[in-house]
Amino acid sequence: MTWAVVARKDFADARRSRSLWALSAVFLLLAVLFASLYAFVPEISSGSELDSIGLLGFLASPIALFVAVASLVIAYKSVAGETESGSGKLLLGLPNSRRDVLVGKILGRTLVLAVPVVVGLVAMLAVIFAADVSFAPVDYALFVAVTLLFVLVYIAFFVGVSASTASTTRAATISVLALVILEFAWDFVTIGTWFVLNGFQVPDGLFTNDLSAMPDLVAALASLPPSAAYMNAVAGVLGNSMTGGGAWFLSNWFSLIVLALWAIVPAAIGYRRYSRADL
Amino acid sequence: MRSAIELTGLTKHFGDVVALDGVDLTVEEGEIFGFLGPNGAGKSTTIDTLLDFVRPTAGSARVLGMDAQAESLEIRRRVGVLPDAYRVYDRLTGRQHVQFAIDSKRTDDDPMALLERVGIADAADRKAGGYSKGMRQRLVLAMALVGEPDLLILDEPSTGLDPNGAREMRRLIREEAERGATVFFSSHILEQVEAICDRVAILNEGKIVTVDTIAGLRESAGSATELTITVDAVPDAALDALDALDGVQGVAATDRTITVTMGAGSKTAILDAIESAGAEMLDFRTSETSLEELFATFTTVADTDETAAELDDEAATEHPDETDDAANPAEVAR
Repeated sequence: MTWAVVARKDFADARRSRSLWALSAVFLLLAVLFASLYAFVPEISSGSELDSIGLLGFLASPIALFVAVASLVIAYKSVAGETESGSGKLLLGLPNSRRDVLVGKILGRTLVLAVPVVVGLVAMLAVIFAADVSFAPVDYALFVAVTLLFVLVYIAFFVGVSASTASTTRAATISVLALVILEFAWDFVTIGTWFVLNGFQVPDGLFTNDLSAMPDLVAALASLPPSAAYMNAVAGVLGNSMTGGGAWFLSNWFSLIVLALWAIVPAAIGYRRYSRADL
Repeated sequence: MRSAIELTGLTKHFGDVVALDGVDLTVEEGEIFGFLGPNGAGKSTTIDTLLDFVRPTAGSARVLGMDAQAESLEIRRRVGVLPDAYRVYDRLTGRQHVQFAIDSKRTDDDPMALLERVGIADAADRKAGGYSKGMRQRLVLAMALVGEPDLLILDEPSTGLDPNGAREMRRLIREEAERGATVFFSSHILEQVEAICDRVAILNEGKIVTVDTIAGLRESAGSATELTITVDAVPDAALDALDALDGVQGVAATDRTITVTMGAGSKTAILDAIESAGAEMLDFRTSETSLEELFATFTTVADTDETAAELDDEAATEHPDETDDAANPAEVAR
């Protein structure tokens, strides 16, 4: 079991990369910018009382997008790149199993993204205090925890993709396709399904994205992408209600299971293919 | 004596390409073993199998008495590896590389002592991305030496080293052997192994051509004689008769000359056979084959187009799906 050694090596390597520092700077700016918008522009908070829970809810969506794109950039080469370049021969010539490599990569790269995310979220506290937004420490901590889980999920997803092929080009293609489908094109899937289920008639509220208006099946489909599951989980921890209204598979608890599956299934497929591959 | 490496009927196909074709080989503990062959012969594929980088199509490989697939992790704890066509981590320093090997093997070696031993201690805290080819080779050798391995597997260790570096490499190999380690290293250049190896195997087109000591090879090289006979015409009967003679290893002919390679045996018998087949002899010469020529005859195919094979070899390593044996002109031509 040398996954910790692999993770440390991986983090030490990435830590010196300029793109990590650029990523941190971008996330820091975004977090402070969005926090300031919420705190100082009344139109955005829609006049309701400023509190950290409202701020975090407002932040969840841009954070989800940032994490999705950043993890693709950080992780798509993680395993395939080593195989392709030949550094994988150093890695696996040493007593590291392929499972150690995969687990180490997931943890190392998660740490790589977790650092800028935590830095950004801590910097945001400055805005919270400066703007006299009421601060709920427990909710804030829960939000950070769920966000870090989300980082782990997306990193595991793309590391899994990377492990399933020996070509970084192929890893990039699959990763970008997955990202586009899950993050940008998913609405078409839900809207299309709803339209078909409704007998090819436009149902009421088709474009409102209101989960409660949807049939359960469509709502489940809409809650399926990692970022949707993350948003639901955030809503659950901030609203202190993990049960939600409707069917069990629409509860906020279940969104945590959905998140876990998005990490476990791609990582398992990646491991299976990687462990059988000729390098 | 226990064997450090034991290959039994080892076969590997990459798609249609046969990289290894029933390789049987035993390397005893404590010996320095040279694994010779032209580029694309299957040397790296053999080594990749020992380390479980590739899985054999048929046959088995045992390393230090353990199965190369089932017990790979334990094997790699006790083996030091200098792979072929590797790449270092550009952003990590030399010291971090060696420390990574130490942590992976859970030993308590001193990284600086190892870097000192391979002669790059002064570059320990520079990023390996800025190292020259020779320094990278020394760095990975230092990683291979971590934990006093029982077996060192070195794939083309002299690559990128200047003559001085190659000499130091040989000194290190001897030191490791004196400590008790088995050293198994591959090369496509005979002179790199003849100074240092106890035994060598020659691999060509995925098959073991010969396994012998350097002294034994030298003996067969020295005793082999090449007769070149110029005649007025070459009757087929003459060639058949020559083939049947004791001690004759090879017969080749163009329209006016017959070339016979022979070990022990009578030259007169050869000349008699040619004359009794009805050919008139105009001239004849004899020459002894050198060790280099012997190696060349074992591996003629690659020597015809060494440069092209080398280029293709590099191209092939960029596509892990393909084998370096695809570079072998003979394989392609088949």
